[in-house]
Amino acid sequence: MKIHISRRVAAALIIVLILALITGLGADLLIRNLGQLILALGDTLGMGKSTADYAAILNQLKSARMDLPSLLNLLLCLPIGIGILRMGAGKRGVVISSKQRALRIGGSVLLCLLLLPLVVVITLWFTDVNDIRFGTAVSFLYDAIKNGIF
Amino acid sequence: MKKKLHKGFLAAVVCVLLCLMLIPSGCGEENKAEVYRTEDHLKQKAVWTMGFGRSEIAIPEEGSQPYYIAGYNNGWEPVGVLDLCNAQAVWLDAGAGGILLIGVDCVGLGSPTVKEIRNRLKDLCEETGCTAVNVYATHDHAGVDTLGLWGPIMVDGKNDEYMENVIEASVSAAYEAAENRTEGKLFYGAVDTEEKESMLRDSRYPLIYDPYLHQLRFEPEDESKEGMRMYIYGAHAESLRGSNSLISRDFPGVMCDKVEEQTGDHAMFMPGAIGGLIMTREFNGLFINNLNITGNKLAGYALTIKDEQEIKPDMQYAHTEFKVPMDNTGYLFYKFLGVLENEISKGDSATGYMLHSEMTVLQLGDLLFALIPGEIFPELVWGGEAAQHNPAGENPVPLAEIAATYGYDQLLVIGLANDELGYIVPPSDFLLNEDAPYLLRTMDDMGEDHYEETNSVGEECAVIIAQIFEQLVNSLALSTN
Repeated sequence: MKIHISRRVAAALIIVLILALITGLGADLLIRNLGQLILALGDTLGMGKSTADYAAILNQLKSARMDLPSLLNLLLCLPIGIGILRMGAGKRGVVISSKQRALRIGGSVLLCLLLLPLVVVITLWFTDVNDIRFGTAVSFLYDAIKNGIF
Repeated sequence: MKKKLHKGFLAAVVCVLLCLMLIPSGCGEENKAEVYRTEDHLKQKAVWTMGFGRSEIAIPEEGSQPYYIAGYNNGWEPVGVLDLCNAQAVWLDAGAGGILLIGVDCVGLGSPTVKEIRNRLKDLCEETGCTAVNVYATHDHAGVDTLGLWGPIMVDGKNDEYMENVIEASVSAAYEAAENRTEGKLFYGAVDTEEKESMLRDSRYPLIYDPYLHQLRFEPEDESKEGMRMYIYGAHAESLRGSNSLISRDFPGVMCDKVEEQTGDHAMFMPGAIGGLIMTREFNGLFINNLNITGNKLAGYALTIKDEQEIKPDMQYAHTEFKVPMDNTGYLFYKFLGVLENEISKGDSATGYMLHSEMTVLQLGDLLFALIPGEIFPELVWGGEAAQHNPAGENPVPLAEIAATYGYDQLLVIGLANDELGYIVPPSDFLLNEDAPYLLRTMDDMGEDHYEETNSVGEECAVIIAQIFEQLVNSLALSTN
């Protein structure tokens, strides 16, 4: 039995894969550079003298073993990919003006800007860093901070 | 039709993805003991074959990554070397395939390091028919950090070059031990080190510890060859105490050097049940004097052991891997940061993870040895009065009692063997800080510091150790029937 995949579907899948790759890489880079981020934001976050210490601790994640939740990532990117496609495609056979095209492209970009960071954060949360779920470590860290450990 | 297929196809993709997402990635499983035993021990040639090897562990080159003294203070870099740490190995064989027992002068070795040592000895094992490689740490508190816990806080203190040197020295010692194999007789003896004066100190109630210095002495048939003496003593190797900044083997080094000098035999030290926290007394306020006094006193005791029993050439062992709930949040953070490298899996624990470890029981003649992957409290081994600061916690049957039910009257413990889980604390005395369990210490109503809980996997560890021990002893008993 042949399954015919239309161009739209193929395009949607390609967009989804590209978005998943971008968000997956984004989550990976973010985790590996948390130390650098702390260094850059330490003063803003009021860490003071401890900034360098915390950065040194988090810099260990540069060489962490990471298992990105690729399936979750794909699933989250799916509606965004479909949304982009729907926004850009229009109706078959209907010619759209350049203004309408610009609006559609702008809409796609806005959709990405709004939703992709959310996807990165969710991906981050479910990423296993050295076999420990990032979200689990963050939860326990939050409890420790609440109890005045740091 | 194409439109329907399109929607249908997308729906199918989403469903498949959802199903794959919902498949559990790892569930908590009950510990399943896979037991290994020496084959046909009844057909063993009735003679002991042993060999000894030793290799110094080189200090890293100047200018490389920093390294720290393990045991007391974070970020404490050594200022010099009193005596270099060693890896020593013993080949033990009663005729049906030998085993290697490798001891490293260090604070502890995690299971990944042990596995790497085993990996590098695969060829040797194939050539020689060695069936098991066991690696323990002397728990030296004056050696280089080999667990990663004594760098700057929460930063891995292990030095890559030193770790490589530890592994290489262990492998080298093992090869030497295999090469030096010779036939002879094995004897067991012990001496009470508390009889004349107090050698030991237990810093936590109840005051239960093994006062004996145990000796296994190998006497080669060929008198031109050197003998071997293996000592088991239940004390932390920290006579140099916390202000020390020199690399050293601590009292095990002094003791073994003295015994070797006096007898001509090779000597090696193994820690016993040292949890809770058992250490030698402070005989002198100057740490180097204290080291020499402690080492020489113990050597003196060792040399008085006369009333020995010969151990019949009969050896078997049982080994298994197991999982223990990783309740300690500190361990979770260390694992997350890559400092703790043990294998883990998802399971039923306070953190949602189980820590993987292993245990071996070894029978030599009528003696039974429990190779425990941590620092077990003596009351969990020999029983006696138990502290009750956690009434909900139920202590398991002591290991010696379990061994006795299977006909083993003499149980010896080798601690920090094949892993270092930390302290193995009696559940009845397991007390945590209410605000920050495992991350902060707490005192009980008697003013006792419950520090050990902060360096333990969790409350259930003691129970699991006892369960696994019983499984292994049972398997040894079954194999003799």
